[in-house]
Amino acid sequence: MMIDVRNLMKSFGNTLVLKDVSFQVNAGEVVCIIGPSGSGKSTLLRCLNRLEEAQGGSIQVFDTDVRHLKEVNAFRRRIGMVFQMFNLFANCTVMENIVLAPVELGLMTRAAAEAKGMELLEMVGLADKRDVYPSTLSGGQKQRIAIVRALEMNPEIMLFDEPTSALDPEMVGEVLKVMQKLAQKGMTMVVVTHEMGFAREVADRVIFMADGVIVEEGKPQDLFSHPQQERTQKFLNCVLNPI
Amino acid sequence: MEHYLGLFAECWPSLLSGLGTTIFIAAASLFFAFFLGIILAVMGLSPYRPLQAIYHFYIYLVRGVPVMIFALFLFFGMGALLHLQFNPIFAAILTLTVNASAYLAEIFRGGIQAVDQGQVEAARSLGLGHLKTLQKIVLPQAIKIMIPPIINQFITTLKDTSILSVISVRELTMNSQIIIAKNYMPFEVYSYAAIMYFVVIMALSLFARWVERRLRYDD
Ligand SMILES: Nc1ncnc2c1ncn2[C@@H]1O[C@H](COP(=O)(O)OP(=O)(O)OP(=O)(O)O)[C@@H](O)[C@H]1O
Ligand SMILES: [Mg+2]
Repeated sequence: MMIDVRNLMKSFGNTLVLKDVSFQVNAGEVVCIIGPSGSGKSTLLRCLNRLEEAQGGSIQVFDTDVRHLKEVNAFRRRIGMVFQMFNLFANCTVMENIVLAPVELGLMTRAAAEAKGMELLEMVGLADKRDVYPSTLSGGQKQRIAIVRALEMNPEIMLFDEPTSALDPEMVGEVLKVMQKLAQKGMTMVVVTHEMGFAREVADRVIFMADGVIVEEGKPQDLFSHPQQERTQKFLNCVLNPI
Repeated sequence: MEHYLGLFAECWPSLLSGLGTTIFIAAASLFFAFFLGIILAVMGLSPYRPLQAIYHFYIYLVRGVPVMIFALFLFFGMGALLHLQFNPIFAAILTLTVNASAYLAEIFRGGIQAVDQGQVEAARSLGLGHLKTLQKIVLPQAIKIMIPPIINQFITTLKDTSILSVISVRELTMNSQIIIAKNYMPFEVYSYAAIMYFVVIMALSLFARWVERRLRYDD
């Protein structure tokens, strides 16, 4: 098992944002987390790599006790994260974005890092962008670069926090395709998303969250076709039939 | 015209020496203020409440007291209290250091806070530590944001030196007044001083514009 979260509690000040959340992710599994805005999806994801600190429960990631880490930086290297707003380094070119962490952390020589970076850029179809600055790229291009930057570290798990929510509709597909390819290669992935098509097609399991709890989880065909909880039915109804 | 230029030549040595003092005081003050400003900004950015409180108190104090009052209080007030005669240059540099350090600290703090927090999180999620993130991501972007206001502060401090004539520092304004007391030609002499300030500040402004253009890397 790659991720084992039990009875997780997280609050910001007096507001309890995650109330007793438990779930597991196996190696090679793709889990999509769906749910209404403010339900705690991002917070849950950010607890997994200690961008947020939990207040209760236990979080095990590769048999590491995340709540009592001694070496947070060494731990984070092993988990890639992709953000809604891309968060590319504005002062670095595309290639510098990709090689900065492995080179600065002494994990690879610059030459090796660039060679690997080129391979990954070719995989996402952006080899020609290696020397431009992020501000010159479209949203879809930025997000594919952000995925490459995370993959360059050879992560064992990839976390995605609404990777397509900030994109124009015509660019969503190019990013989802890269993610699908990654899933097919056996990457362990936790994806917070509003793309129900992607969840249905690619996920092994879908988790529906609302108000800081996991309301329901299951195989995509079960959860989408036969949701058991009224809360899930209502949400899917809203998302699948917006008008 | 001949009279105007002739008089200028006559006043030139004294005005030039005043301008030299003006530039020296501004440069020395900004030098010290730069380091003090960095220390202050670190206090202001620290998560530790008491340090933040000291920072804010300092900023509000400097903002709330006019430079001239500060200089008079330090030179005459503190001098009287402690029964000593301050060196006017020392008092001048201390006054402007305190003043500029507060404004520079605000510029430093603002520049760092203006850097997109998402990029910091991305760096941390890759396993980069606080210091590496600061060095490779935050500072390069913050410095770019800070340079125009820093040069603005240089200009402000340079102009503020003219206030120091009240504590008899022999800078450009003071020397103009001394000349006028002898020749009774305020129109001419003050216009010379104005032109000299203007030329120096214009040069600084042009330099600022040039630096700003050089720093644009991403568009
Ligand atoms: N840093 C923070 N400080 C205080 N409250 C926060 C913070 N981050 C999130 N919250 C609150 O926690 C709750 C859950 O937020 P979270 O971002 O995890 O929701 P989400 O499910 O990701 O929503 P969305 O779909 O809008 O991204 C929200 O009510 C939010 O206002
Ligand atoms: Mg979110």
